[in-house]
Amino acid sequence: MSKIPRSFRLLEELENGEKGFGPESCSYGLTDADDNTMTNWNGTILGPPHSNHENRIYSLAIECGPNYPDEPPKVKFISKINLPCVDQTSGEVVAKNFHTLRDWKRSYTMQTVLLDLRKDMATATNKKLPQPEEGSTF
Amino acid sequence: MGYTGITSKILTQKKKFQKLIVFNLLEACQCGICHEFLSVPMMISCGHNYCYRCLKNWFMTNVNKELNCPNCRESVVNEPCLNLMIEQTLASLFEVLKARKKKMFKEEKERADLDELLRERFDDSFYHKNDKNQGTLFDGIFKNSAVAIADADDDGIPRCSNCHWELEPEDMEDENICPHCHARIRNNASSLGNPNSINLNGRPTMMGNRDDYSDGEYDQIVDEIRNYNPSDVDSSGESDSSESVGYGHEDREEEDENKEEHDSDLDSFVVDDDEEEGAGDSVNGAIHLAANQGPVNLSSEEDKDSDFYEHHDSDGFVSGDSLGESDNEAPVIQKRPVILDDEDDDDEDVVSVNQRSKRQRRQLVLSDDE
Amino acid sequence: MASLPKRIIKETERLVTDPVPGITAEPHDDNLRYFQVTIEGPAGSPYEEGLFQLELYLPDDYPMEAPKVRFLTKIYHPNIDRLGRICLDILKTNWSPALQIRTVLLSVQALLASPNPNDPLANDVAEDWIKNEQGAKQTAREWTQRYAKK
Repeated sequence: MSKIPRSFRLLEELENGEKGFGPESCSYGLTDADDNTMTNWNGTILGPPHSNHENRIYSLAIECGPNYPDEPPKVKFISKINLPCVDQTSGEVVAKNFHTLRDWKRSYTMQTVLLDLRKDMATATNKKLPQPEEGSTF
Repeated sequence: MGYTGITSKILTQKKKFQKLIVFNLLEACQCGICHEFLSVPMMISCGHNYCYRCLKNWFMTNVNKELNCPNCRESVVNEPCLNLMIEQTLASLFEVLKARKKKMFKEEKERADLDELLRERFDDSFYHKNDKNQGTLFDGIFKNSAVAIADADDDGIPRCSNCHWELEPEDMEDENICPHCHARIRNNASSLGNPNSINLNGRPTMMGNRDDYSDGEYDQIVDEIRNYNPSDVDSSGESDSSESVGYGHEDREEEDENKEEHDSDLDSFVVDDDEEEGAGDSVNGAIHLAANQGPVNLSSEEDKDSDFYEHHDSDGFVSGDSLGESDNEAPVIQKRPVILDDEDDDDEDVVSVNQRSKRQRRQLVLSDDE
Repeated sequence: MASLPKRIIKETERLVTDPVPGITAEPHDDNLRYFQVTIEGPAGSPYEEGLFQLELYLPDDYPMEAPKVRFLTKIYHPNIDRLGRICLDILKTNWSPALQIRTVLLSVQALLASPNPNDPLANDVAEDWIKNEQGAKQTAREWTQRYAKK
């Protein structure tokens, strides 16, 4: 497999996001449709059922730096959330506490990150964690 | 002088001119998909040729689309067939390259590349033969798909040849598949009777590549071609160096159109073949061969260094030729040893016939003047 | 990285030895399927005297699959969007493996010479182009001056 360059990889992800491919439980798009560096992205995660996150919609900011996808994106919750991997003052997903970012692979996408975060919300220990008021932001 | 007509003229042209012709012929034997020499050349009904493997790959990608020719985009309704003429021409070319490997390819890497190319060609032949044996040529696409047919005497509406369902253009926009039986439609239903031929630029041109010639040389050659006057050619064979051209003869004698006098006029380089595999072929072929083996002397001051062919004894060379030996397998191509005539010896008997030959080819034998 | 198909090597060599006038394409040292491209704006078009940067990538399935091409330089054109994506049939549904890097880039250059506002990718630009062609061309010239100056 050859290495698809950053920009074409991001265009692919953008197209998949626009077409609504993949599960409906998360979505993402460019923050600024004019930004041809395609650095800043918005993401949303629909809280998993049977958890304290049920029916909540979480907003995230994703930053794909110049070395993406060789390096993982920076991911930050905008909506307040109580999760072990999320820094409780900034909302940032701490890479060393979140396996998807820690053990990043080039084949991972923003969708991988969002879906894995959603899975993390639904683990036995995390789904019962008390959550901040819905709609509050970091 | 055994040659007449255009072939004779060409063989007595200056070397530069001949090079250009050879270059153009070689260019024409390239696959428009992989840009290599055609390997198992398959011809589409529009006349364009591609390697079997390349064409199969192309048909198998974009599975929702009609099948089309990469060059002219014509719909491919019928299964492409093996272009035996190109196949055999290239087989003999590679035989020569193999035989002259040590002389032509000085560097280890070049030789390794040639070996690899030969190996790939061998694999491709095997791949094609295997698909053919299994009845899965082109992944069976020509068995498992349908064609859009519009019968003007009926209602003129394009219909699936498989289930006769109407093929509405709007249903075919995203995928060229019958909405009813889900067969892939090989042609473009919406442009039925109106074949769209999009001209693609960038096909290899028939002109040589300028880069292969020094400044001015190319233009000069082109000018020469344009201003070519047959009467300018001096074909009197006065030079010491002569090339003896002998040729084998293929065995189509059972076919009327292949009259003997006809053959003697033809020049040989061109490989010929016979689909028939009659037992008597090789014997008859040999007789013909002897009968037609007059040496031809060509000479010109430019010919002295011609060392196009040299003697070799097919040292373990496996070519596409030997692949076809199993019975009732399609094109069976047998090779005769290429003739060498290093001694400037015009002896006609140098040509030996491989008795196993079901098919023989003519070949050009040039003496080596070195 | 898997070895580069011979066709790609040949195409790359030929782009260097026999370049297309007004077009350059050079592979990146660390990714030989990824090309840095420049295209000169065609004479007589609003893009005249502009030099446009593009990037081109040959996917794994090339030549069965079309190259991916994108403008890096901002350009005002009805068939090129704000992210530099190009609306050109041969890059999508009309791809053919008989096409190659040079023919693709020539087609992109031709698209600059003859925009097709009826098959737009950038809808606002196309609208402008249809309603007020002279004004749109003027904007295109200004953008060329501003972003694509040689």
